[in-house]
Amino acid sequence: MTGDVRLTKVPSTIALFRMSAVMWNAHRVHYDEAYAIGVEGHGGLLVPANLLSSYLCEAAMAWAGPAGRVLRMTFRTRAPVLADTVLTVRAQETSVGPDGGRRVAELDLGIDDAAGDTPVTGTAWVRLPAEPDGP
Amino acid sequence: MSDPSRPDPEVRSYTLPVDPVAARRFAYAATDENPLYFDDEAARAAGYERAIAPPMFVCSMFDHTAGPPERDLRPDGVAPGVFPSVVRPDAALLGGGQEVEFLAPVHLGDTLEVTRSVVDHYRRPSRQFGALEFVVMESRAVNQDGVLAVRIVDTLVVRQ
Repeated sequence: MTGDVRLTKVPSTIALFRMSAVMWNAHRVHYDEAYAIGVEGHGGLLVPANLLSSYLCEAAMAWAGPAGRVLRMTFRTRAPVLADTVLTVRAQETSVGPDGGRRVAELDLGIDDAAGDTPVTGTAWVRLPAEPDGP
Repeated sequence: MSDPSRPDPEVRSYTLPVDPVAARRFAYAATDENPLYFDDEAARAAGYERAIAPPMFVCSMFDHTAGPPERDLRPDGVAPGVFPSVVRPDAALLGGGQEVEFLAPVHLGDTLEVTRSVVDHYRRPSRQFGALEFVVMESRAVNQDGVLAVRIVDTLVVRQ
């Protein structure tokens, strides 16, 4: 089956703007740096959680391949992630078991920063494509 | 002030049209150019009827309404009505995580009816902040054929 997936993502201020725009989300911590730093005391612009979860989902789908299906995903943000941070997004298989005639893999998901911290963790359950019939 | 030990029964509903332009803008914002979102043929080859929406698109369109005019936003830019009434207008908000079940594909052009309700609300001591409140909300997105396509459980961490 597929090997571990590792993606590199750098959430730019443009990506933050576009995500906020498509969601009609005016939360200033995502685009107003003076507000994020001066009023709320963050170290910069905050990456919205749904951008981080999108990265995790992309990694899970890359692991599964186009014919696989992500059935369920959970994630937790443990620390804020700032814009322009270089991130490594990973999906690794932890187990595979039968589920109603198909096989379902459990994946450990995580987003690591360059300092070696893991601000986002998650788990996905992926249904593997049907295998071709045997001889 | 509501009693933190009792779930707030309030429910919000909205219609989420899975607009291909919005869904593809979402994909580009997430720097995810998966052909399943852009190419009907690629999606059919993978067993879908046609191109699908990025799975997190539905989970991210938290309150698909016009929202209030700018004068009615909170000072941090958040629309106050998005959150249940147990969240005070001046509360600091943190996303506590999400659990999502993808029960049926969401294709571009689908229409989802989303219903969100508060299913739990509790308070926990916090060393750093004294006490934190946790508001757990469940959203259910049902498609135009009456099929429950996505179920989302959001935990909101509230400092107030």
